Amino acid sequence: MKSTSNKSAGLLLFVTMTTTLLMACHKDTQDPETPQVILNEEEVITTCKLYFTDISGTSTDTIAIYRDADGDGGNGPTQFDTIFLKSGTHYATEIILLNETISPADSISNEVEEEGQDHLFCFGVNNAALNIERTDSDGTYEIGLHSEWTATSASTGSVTITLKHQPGIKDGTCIPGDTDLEIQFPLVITD
Amino acid sequence: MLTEFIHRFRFRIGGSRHHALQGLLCCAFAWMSQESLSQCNIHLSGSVKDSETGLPVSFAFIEIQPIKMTTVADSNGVYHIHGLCPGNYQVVCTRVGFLLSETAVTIQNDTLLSHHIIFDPSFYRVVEVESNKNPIRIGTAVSQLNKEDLMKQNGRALSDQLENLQGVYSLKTGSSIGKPVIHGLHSSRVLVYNNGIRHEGQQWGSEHAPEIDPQLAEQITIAYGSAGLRYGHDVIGGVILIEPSDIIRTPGFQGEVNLVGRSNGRSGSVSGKIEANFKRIKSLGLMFQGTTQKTGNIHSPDITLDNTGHDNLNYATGVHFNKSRFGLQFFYSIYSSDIGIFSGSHTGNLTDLNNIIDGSLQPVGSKFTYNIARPKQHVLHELHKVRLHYVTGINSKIEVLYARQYNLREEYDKHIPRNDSIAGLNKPELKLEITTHSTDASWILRKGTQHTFQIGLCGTYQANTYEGRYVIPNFERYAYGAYLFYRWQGTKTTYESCIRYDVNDLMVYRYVNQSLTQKEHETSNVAFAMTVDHNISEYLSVGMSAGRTWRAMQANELYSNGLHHGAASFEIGDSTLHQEQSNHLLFQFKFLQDDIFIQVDPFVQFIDGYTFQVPTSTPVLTIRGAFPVFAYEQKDSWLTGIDAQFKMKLPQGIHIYSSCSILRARERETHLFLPQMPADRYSVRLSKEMKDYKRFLRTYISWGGKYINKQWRVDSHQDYLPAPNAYYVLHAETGTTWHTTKADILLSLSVDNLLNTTYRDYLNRFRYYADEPGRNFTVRITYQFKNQKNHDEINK
Repeated sequence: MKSTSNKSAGLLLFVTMTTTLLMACHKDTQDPETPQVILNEEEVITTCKLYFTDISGTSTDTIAIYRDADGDGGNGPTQFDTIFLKSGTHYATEIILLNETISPADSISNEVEEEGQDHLFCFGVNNAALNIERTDSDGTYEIGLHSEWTATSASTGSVTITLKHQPGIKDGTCIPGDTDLEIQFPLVITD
Repeated sequence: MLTEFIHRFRFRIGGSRHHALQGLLCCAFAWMSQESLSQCNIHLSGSVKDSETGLPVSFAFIEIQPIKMTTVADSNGVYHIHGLCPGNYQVVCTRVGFLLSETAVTIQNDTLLSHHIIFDPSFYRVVEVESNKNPIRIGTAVSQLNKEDLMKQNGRALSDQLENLQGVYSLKTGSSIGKPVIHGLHSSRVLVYNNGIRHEGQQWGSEHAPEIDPQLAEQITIAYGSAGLRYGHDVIGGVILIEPSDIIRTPGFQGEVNLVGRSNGRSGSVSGKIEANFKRIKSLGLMFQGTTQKTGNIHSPDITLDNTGHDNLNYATGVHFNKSRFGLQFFYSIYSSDIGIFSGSHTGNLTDLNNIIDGSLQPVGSKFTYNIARPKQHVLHELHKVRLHYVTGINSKIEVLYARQYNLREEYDKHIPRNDSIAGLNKPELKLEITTHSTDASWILRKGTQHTFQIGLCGTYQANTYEGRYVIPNFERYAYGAYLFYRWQGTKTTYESCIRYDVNDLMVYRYVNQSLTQKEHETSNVAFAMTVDHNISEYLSVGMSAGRTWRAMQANELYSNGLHHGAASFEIGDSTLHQEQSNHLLFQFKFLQDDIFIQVDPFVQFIDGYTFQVPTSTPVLTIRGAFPVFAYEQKDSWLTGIDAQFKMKLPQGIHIYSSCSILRARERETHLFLPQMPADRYSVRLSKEMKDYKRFLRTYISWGGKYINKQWRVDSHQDYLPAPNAYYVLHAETGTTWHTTKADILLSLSVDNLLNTTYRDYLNRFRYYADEPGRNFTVRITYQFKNQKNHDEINK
């Protein structure tokens, strides 16, 4: 008798368990006919502005802009300036990064500054007489939002600006981490 | 021992349970009859063979008429009857799955008989009615892994298990994601049928493994190319049928527990299954199965690969209700997995990728951990199934099936958002959800012993949505089709043909210039296939399979447009692409004599509009740097190759098995090589079966190796790097079964990559970043238990 009741209990348990599991049903909350409005990634960088302030007092201030208004993909950049500098001039350079897919535009460079310990700008000069030194710091290492550019003589080349994201692995060099931004600006230094 | 050898040769559908039961019963009869007729002393012995393959058939039931003396042939198909009196007899030989064979014989003195029995086509009907298995015939262009093969692979990924079949490779993304490649074709060109249902996940992506727990499978069958046309019009590469065992139908319960431990990744897996059938409601069968697995960071021979662990939790439950003519089945399963993606593989842009490739950015070895960090994938697949069948007559049956599948895929980038409050939400950067409802109705009709017809209708509705980053658009897909199948089964020849018509209607919803637009892509076509098998002689058989199949373009081929994050490539779809059509032809030659078996399968396939990613000459410029562009293009192509196997049995239980698979694939116009095609593969295995010792049965040792040639046939512009070098890896394994009447315990120990070889494989997308896993020891313990009344008691 006991074994029969055990069996019945087993049966009941099995049926309950099975039906419970059968009831479980995952659902898609989205409607295929109305896709989400295209949101660019929250933190897309569309625009990189370089402000050059003459600190040697021999020349004028200048600006260079890279702008890809619709973010990665889609159309190419709508503005891609050449950097024009004067030889023998020291520039205090500030980098401003913007997300212009939203209005008002969101300043990404402020976030980079807030998380300076995770970020590093790297500068590569190709075929031009130009020296670049970062002038800001996260407390331990440089960041590069602010830098000093020294154009020594007339030349033509390019400068590659790279923003590395190095969370927890920043060591002051450009090797670790992922690339958030990489732009090769054409560069002309005139006398 | 020979039986095991034979089982590997001939892949017949057959429930071993039936044989065992029948064997038990028959032994009892045989013993009784011998007792009562001891006055005469003539000895009759015989052997039972399959007329088609010439292979011995085990456990056939032998009855001597008119004296009603009975016995059962042993596992080698041999039987002996002692104590016959001289006279005329009818020897009746019966065996599940074969036609009854009667031999008239006059016996004067000791006699040796040979029976060639014919496979019974109606057995398919029995199988179809009684089980939920797919009634595919094992012949040309079809091969299979049975329960025993699968047990030895326990704990390995599905695609790794399938690599044991000829012409099947695995396309990998790191060590934890693999998808099967049949004769160079994969993803939407290979159908996966799980438990009688067409598996619908995010099949299009090569970094998406099929969301199926291989622990549920009792057998896995592959039909190459058009041979599986009944399962879908898009069987361009083929179809993989994954079938669980039937739930027991006799009162009692049975089950198994599997434990698998692997040294590389310190992986542990526990899975269990229990089935029950109750005395009071004999028609009701219940099943519950579950698997959990945890794997930590994998190590290559040199370093521990950061973030390469994965977790799995899967379970399934089934309820079967069977009356004599009517059957109803419910099945529910869920598969959920978190997969770490090797952190060194996620690259920001082409400069980062080049730095990794040229070695200036070496992946740093990490410490062992079970934690899975970003980048990672979370995958969930849920299946509900209802199957109903009704036997309408002695030779016909109607079957209706409905299934709902829900597939979720979440991809987390390595990069967490800069904004802390957004980062705190820890949301996936990409979320794809796909829900599929499918129905299938078929009517099977058999006429005489030779003709089988099947008529089927199928319909599918599918909806896909995305959240986060755009990869593929939202879409709805309606697909419907009808097919007609016919089989003719003669004594030496079998002929099968199938024709089907399908419509595929894809509705895509997306924003173009800020406004929501809807675009319809409707494609339809006819597909057809035929297969012929013929036995030329006792030793030699030939077969041919030919057919035409087609495939509608997928949403990613039409509309993908954007950065493939982590892969440093920019992918562009083309909404003007048309359907892909394939003409497939495969031949099979089989030779079997005594202890030697040779099988050769050459094939050729012409694909019109073969769609693949072609690198374009100009990179796309983004604020993150330059990215190479891969655009979907269609090129008429051909693929050809050969699969060959050689098996030989030596004395003392030693077996040699070797195989090779060779494939060539080119564009027809330019003769350029197609990218991502598997390199030539050769493998050898040597195994020795030990004599049974006390309760230890089926003890074996095996050694083997495989050699993968370098994929020389690539065009340099297609890839960042030349293909990796050729390599060989060795493997060793030993196992045994501890047998008792109530339970069996199976033990095995195996070593993969025995020499800890450092190598990379062309079909692994991570070949740029890391070596393949190093040496791995696997221990498997399976406990199978059973509490079942035998047949006699049930019949009372």
